[in-house]
Amino acid sequence: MSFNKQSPRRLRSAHSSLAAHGEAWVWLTGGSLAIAIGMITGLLLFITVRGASTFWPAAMELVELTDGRRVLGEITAREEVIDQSDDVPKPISRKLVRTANFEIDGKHYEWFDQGEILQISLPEWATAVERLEGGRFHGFPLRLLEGDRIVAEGSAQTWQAFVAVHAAARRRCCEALRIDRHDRGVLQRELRAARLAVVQADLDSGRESSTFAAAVASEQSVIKRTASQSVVLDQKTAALRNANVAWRVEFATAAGEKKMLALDSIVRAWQPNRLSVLGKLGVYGARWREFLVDDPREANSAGGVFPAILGTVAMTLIMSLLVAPFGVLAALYLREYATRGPLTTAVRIAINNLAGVPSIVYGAFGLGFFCYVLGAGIDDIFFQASLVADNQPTFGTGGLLWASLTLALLTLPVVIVATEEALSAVPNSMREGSYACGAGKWQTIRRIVLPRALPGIMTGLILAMARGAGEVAPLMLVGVKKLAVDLPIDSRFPFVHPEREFMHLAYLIYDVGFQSPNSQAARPMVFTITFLLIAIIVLLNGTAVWIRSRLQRRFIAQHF
Amino acid sequence: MGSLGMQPKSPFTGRPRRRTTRPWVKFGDQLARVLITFGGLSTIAAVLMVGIFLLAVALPLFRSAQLDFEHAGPVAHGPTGAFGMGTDESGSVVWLFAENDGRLQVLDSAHGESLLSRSAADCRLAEATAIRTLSGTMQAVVGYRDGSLRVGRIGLESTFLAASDLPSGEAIERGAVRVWQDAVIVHNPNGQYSRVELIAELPAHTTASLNAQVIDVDITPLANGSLLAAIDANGRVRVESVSQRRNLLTDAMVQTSTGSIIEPLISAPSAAKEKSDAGRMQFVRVSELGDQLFVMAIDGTALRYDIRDIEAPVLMETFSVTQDAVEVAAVARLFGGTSLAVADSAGSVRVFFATRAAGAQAADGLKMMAAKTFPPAHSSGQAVRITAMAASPRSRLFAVADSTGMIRLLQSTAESTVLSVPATAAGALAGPASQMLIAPRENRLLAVDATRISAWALDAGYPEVSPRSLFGGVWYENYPAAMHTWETTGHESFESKFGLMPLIFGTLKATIYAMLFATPIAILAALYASQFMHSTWRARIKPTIEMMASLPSVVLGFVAGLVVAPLLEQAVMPVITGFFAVPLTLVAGAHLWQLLPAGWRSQLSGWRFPVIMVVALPAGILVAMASAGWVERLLFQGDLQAWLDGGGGSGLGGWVLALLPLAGVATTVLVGKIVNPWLRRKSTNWSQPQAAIVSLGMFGVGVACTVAIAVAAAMFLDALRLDTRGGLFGTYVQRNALVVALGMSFAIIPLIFTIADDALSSVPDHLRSASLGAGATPWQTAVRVIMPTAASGLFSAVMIGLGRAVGETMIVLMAAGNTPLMGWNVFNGFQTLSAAIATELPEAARGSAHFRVLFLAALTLFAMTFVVNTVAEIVRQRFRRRAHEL
Repeated sequence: MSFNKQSPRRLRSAHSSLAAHGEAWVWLTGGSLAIAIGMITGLLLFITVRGASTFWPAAMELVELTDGRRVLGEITAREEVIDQSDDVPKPISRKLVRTANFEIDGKHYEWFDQGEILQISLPEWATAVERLEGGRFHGFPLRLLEGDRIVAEGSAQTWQAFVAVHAAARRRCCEALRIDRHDRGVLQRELRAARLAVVQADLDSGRESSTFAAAVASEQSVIKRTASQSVVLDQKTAALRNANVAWRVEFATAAGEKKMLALDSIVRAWQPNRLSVLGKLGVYGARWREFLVDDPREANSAGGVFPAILGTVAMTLIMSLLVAPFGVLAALYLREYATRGPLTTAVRIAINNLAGVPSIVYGAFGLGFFCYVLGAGIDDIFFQASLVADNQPTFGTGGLLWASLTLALLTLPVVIVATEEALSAVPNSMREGSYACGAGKWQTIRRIVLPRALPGIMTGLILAMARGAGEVAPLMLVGVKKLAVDLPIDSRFPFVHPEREFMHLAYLIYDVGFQSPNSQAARPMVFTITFLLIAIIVLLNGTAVWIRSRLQRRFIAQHF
Repeated sequence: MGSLGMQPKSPFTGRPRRRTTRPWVKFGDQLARVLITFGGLSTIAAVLMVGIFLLAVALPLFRSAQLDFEHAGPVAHGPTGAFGMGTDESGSVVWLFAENDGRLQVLDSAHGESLLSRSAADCRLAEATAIRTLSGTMQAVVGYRDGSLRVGRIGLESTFLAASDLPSGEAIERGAVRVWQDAVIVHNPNGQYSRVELIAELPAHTTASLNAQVIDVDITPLANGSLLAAIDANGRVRVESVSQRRNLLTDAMVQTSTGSIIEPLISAPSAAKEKSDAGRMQFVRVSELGDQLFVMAIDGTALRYDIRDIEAPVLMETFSVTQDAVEVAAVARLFGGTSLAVADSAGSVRVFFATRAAGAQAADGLKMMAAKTFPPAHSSGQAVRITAMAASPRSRLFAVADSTGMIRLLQSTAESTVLSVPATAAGALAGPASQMLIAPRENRLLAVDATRISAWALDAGYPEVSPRSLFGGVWYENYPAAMHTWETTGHESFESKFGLMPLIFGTLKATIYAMLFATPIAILAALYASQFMHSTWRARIKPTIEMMASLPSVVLGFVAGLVVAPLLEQAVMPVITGFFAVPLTLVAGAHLWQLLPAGWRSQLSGWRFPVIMVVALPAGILVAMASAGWVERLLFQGDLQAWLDGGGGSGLGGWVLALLPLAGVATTVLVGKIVNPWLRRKSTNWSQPQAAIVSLGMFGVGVACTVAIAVAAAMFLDALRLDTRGGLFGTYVQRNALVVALGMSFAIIPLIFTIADDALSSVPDHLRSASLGAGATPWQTAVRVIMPTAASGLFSAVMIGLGRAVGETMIVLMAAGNTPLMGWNVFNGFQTLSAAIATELPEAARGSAHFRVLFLAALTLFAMTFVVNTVAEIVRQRFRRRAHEL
């Protein structure tokens, strides 16, 4: 202190030094960063927890209410609300119970106030049943019947007998479904192809020509053949269904109501309160397996998302195949061949801008140009028969190819910019060294510049793929469907069907979340799809970061 | 370098050295050059084509209409008596009836050839004095000299004809017609054939009728029949609803009709005029829905009746359809609703419709308003009289002909003159047209004068769309006044409302609110990350935030729309208080941190961020939650939602909320400019802890001051009876701008953060070192050296964030409610350009006005982002150059 007094030159005071540190401001900036990080981690954590827990067989709780009602279900949420109805607002806690049994009380979920609840218990034989149609069913197994014969009675025996026969019944049911969907689809496609051949022959050479007669004859033979094959299929499915039809399981709901379920309408049943952790893991794994490899059921709100995964992967791959060569070509031209000047700068700025143009604008372009101009043109030339026969455009509507092309166009600027940056990061000394050794321009690019720029190009490409995999707004215009029966890739020639409409994970989120007739019951499914999509994108991004850092290290090591 | 001299004759490898490039290397070089140049240029061209294509699709909207004269021919007798005219569906064949000609004729409309003809007596048209037919259903009403009426069908019925059913013989050219077996075969321009038959079915008996000559009739279709109105020379009006059903036993059509007679209304002023013809009622029209009847006199006096009960019409209002004593020349019912176009003898045309206007005195609360006015066409001083008018049967387009021989096409919605051609040019007509007709597909216009009939090929283009109707307020039918409206589907589909302004407004609203929330957080976070954070921490945090930049927007939209929106509805108040409580808690935390001894602080500096993240931020959120109920009681009488709905007292609370940030800024400036310098002088003797305590106290005083200023200003504004409700605040809707702002910030924050962080950390280190070396604190360095140097980079970061916000689709689609409203209310929804394109483009018919308007919306979006991004890019390039120079 005394030293301070003796030094007249000191101008700063304790206060001004505090103010200079701007601690309050620094804390505000730090708080902003904390908010940003909190938002991201919160979002990711939330989706991960909700998405990953959808398939976990939660405990089934029997809720007994003060008014005598008994409800069986999973408690999915608890919350505290302020009761405003009284003069004095008081907090009450309430529980959200997934009660299932939609056909009985018209609800999937129900809220119960703590005050209404008399008692909660975990009954041993509480069973959750996932059905083909109608959503979940919660109840207690009573008896297993084959026709009128009682095979087993009482919870324990019924369950035992159920486990013994269910797998086979389910297999028969799946087989019948497969025949209906797949084998019959093949026949229908053959019939349509034959019919289109007739129309095409009519268009090409008229009704009097020999080709027309031949086409008609072949159509007749196809009709005859498919009819006989169809009969065979009918017999097969009838046999499969007959083997199942007699088997029924009777359940009792918590309220005591009896409910008969056909054995083959049960996809899966489990008794969470009896399951060990390992058993629960088994159910969890089985449900994930179904989610990843099966077809959707019940307007996409249950079952699997395999067609959507396939559609997403196929579209992203085709997009990458299109965008990679053209993006690299354009960047090579801009960086290595184009003469530097105001025009190149303008083009570069324009391309940079296009990277920021909204995706929906590309969607509008895709619909207007690819589907309605290019696609309609292709239809007119090559697929007129389909247009004439049933007014069905082939390429003149949304499809896998147009969606991929649209997204390729959308991600092209991203790839061009990334590739250009990678190319410009290659030191000129290396090019000059190559020229000095007598290499030509193309040799230099191929052997020196491109390998060196590869990590940058790869990063750009993977980021473009991540963007393409998650982009949905343009796809809504150029070919994504909520339910596509025919997969865009199948075992029939030519294996990839670029004209078909397809399903997409990101669109499924929008569709199931917002367009579903029963959005509350579908909500857990949406979280799982979101979780899957984010996992794919995080994986792609992680790969990009990993490639970048690995290759960067390699080149840093090469520096001398 | 002297190598030539040193070159040994044979190199040590023993092989002779090549001195020329191998041909395949040269070839490869050339090939690569050509391929890369071609491929690169065409790729770039393809990408750039996007904008051009959008323009090419949108541009035909503004194409002008075309009217090409096709043919003129004589008409046996001009339309002096009853006259009827109509075409088939495609407009290739026309039927014509003039009472004094005595024939019902069918003509080829492109060439004027007479194809078929039936006598008037055959068709029960003899003595007809008034005819009106409907083009689609061919329903017709005919009035006769003796006051009787007949209701039936007159027109040309088209049926599709397969190529195999064609009469063998010579082929028919496309677009040509041929008579065959009492019918006409038309080879349509699209290649299909149709058989067109003349229908003239009028029943033998006449319906309950008037007792003097019928002078005007009108008809409109009902669900199972038609509604007609007729007026006789004495001014008596007959309204009648005719329903037809098939007798199941005899299989004959049975007509039943009910109706009533309206006696002429003798009111004092019109009684005086009764001597002249002008005051006598002459025109009768029913609205298309069949609920209103209009009766008009030559002098413009008009009556509107409610005829929903056909047996007892009720007079609703008396109004005038002309001004300044001019006479009514023609009346036409426009497509859809209750619109009437009235042309007067001075040449102007006005469109009236019934609307719920203020000051409506009629019992049904409606009032006929002259919504649109089309002034007379300019002519060299002559008096212009409208001689004929015809409305299109499928849009609100109509044609008027005047005494100077001009034909004009007018569009009611856009209130625009689409086209204006002289009808007498090229030998089309001899004089002014007395009758006109627009074909059902709007592909042909026919006009008849005293002696001739002529046809024009019509290509109307998109007359309902004009720059004014897109960007200006338009008075649509059923609306009380001109408004900006976007409505393309729904019950009023007869008049599509293509006002882009609500969508542009929605886009701006989403952008502004999202940017207001996201920009400060992103920029400040980038500042902390680049300047105050340990580099190892930063290396972990940056990729995490970058990861968020690539989260699909559909995920963000889903979370915003289905998770955040319901949660927010329960917790609006805590979120609002959070906007104030969280920053205040952070600043309070900083002041407490200052209380630590200086040595501790520098030792603990690595723990500052964890403390902020784990202690200060959650504490802020807790404070927000704890104070929410209290603030709600204080400002909004304990119920924010009710207050927002307009209940619960004064607007004070809203003003306090709106003014608090401003008051905060004012206090900060005040402290910085006045209090701090004063304290600096005072505090020379203080120790650090003393200064810290004083500063903490000052913070408390500052907060109190801020609140006091805000409350005082709010009370003042409230005393002026101003209210934030209806402006910034208003009724709470679950999916609203606040939800969108929160959801969108997930997308924008990482984007701005990444670019801003790059800009801030690429400021050369020597600048920072110099500043720190000169004695500046890290904060001073950050604000006075780093930020100004990186300013353009920060600016471009914000602009790129803006570009993303403008075009974001899925988040607004899922969280904004998609109602095209205009209003700044934070708690209400909106619709953006992008959401409209995403939902409506798949359903829009290809090539329709709707389709093209949506492409125009896409082009608007394209242009908006292109401008924003170009500015950002130019600024960034400049910044890069400057950074290099430093």
